[in-house]
Amino acid sequence: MDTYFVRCVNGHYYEANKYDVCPYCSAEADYTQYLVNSDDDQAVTMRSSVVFGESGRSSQGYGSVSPQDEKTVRYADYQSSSDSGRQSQPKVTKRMEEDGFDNGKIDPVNIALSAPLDVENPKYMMNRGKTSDGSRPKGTCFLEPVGWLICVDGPDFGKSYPLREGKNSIGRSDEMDVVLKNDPYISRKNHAWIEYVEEERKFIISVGEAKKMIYLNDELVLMPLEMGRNDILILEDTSLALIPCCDENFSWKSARKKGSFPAE
Amino acid sequence: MTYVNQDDITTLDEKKLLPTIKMGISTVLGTRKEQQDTVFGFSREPFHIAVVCDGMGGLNAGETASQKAVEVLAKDFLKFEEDEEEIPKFLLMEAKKLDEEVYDLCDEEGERLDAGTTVAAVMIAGKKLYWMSVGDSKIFFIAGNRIFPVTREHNYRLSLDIMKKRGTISEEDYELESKKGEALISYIGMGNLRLIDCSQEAIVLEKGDRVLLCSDGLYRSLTEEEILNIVKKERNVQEAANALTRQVMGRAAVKSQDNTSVVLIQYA
Repeated sequence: MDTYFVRCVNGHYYEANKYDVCPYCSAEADYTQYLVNSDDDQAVTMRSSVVFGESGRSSQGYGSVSPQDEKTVRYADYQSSSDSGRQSQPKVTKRMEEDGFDNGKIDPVNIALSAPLDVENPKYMMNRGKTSDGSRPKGTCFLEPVGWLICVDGPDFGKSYPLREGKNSIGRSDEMDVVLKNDPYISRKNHAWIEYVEEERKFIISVGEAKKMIYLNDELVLMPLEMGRNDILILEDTSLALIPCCDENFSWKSARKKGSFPAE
Repeated sequence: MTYVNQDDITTLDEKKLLPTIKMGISTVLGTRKEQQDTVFGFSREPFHIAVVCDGMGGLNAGETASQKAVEVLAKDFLKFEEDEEEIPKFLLMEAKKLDEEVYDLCDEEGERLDAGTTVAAVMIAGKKLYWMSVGDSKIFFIAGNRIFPVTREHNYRLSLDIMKKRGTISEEDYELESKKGEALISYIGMGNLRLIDCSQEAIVLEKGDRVLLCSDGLYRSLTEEEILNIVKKERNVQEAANALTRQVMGRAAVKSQDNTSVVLIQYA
């Protein structure tokens, strides 16, 4: 039995078949990102299709055609027969008028265009969430976070970003481990790195490839620096505080062995 | 038996076989008098294309429409020289172009044929797959022992479901209107085509993945699970395509069956 995860607009993952809105923050789901936790190890990410608009030609009416049983009919064939007696269109309610229906007539294409993805069926549209080097699936609801960066200032205020063991890239692009979408001054790729070193139980901040200035609390980061609990990493307009999960008292490795928390 | 010159015994050349694209195509009449589906699959390294067009409308218009659509798309595919990132834009513009070309089809008297067709197309560059769909032909992605529908049906039922979900129509009206549910709301040749589904991001193929394009004759006769089981049994992609249409024809003995066409692509 598969579990479907969806990511809310604030970045929390939750089970789509259990909740209508995010149970953490009540935000709506970002339906461009659906995940299925399948039995094989590959997490499959789904992306929405995009539905497009006009093509520029004026529409033509159709003559009255009586749709035959076996042939593929078009919706317009049902519309045209104005002399066929009772119009069997559903009654247009006030709600429909508010939705912008014209003269009581339903335009099914408008309706379809207004809801690009049938969110009830998360099977639509898929993509494999692998990075270009095939290392780790991006946007995966991964287990065993080593800590979180929380945004305490800036356009992404309030968001939290789980961190994995090893190097986590920080940038604006979706391919990054920590995606800071809304700060335009942050580089798309590798603005900075935060690395969790399991052996030392330490978090290390280092400058990224764009050579932009990054600060740890008040200090300009010139070489890799250790970042501790509640230290603040400042990238352009965004400030991120570190909330470690793993430290000298806890590691997932030990927790797995001992089967209880706290582990040591 | 003696062996001489032991050095002459060749060792296995361990050339790592890179996955390639292979396609299987099959199309059947069903219980209809004419074939109004047109299918096309072609490889021109590094690009590959597969298309299924299901013609609609009476007389021969359906056949003409689907053939015209495939013809135009094929011609433009053969001229495609750009980067793989341009494929989504190419497919989108093709959808609009096909719509105009089919809309313009006329008979000997110069009267518009008023024909239409669906289109489900897949274009692959290396191992990146992009797709486009207008109408109710479907594309399925088969990987890791599972089958995923990639497209949705552009029919009245789509709009009804959205309206029902929003509470814009009552249960009663939904049931009444459902009778017209399979009527297409978007198709090639309608003119002023607005509803086109098209991938923006590539699906990255992995060894063993298969992609199935089919007209509605297939999925209205077989369930997704049945399709998956049939395809899984055959390693050869053409055999698998034949097995699908064979199964459909087997059932056609007891009920009416629309034209059914499939293109099965394999990356292995």
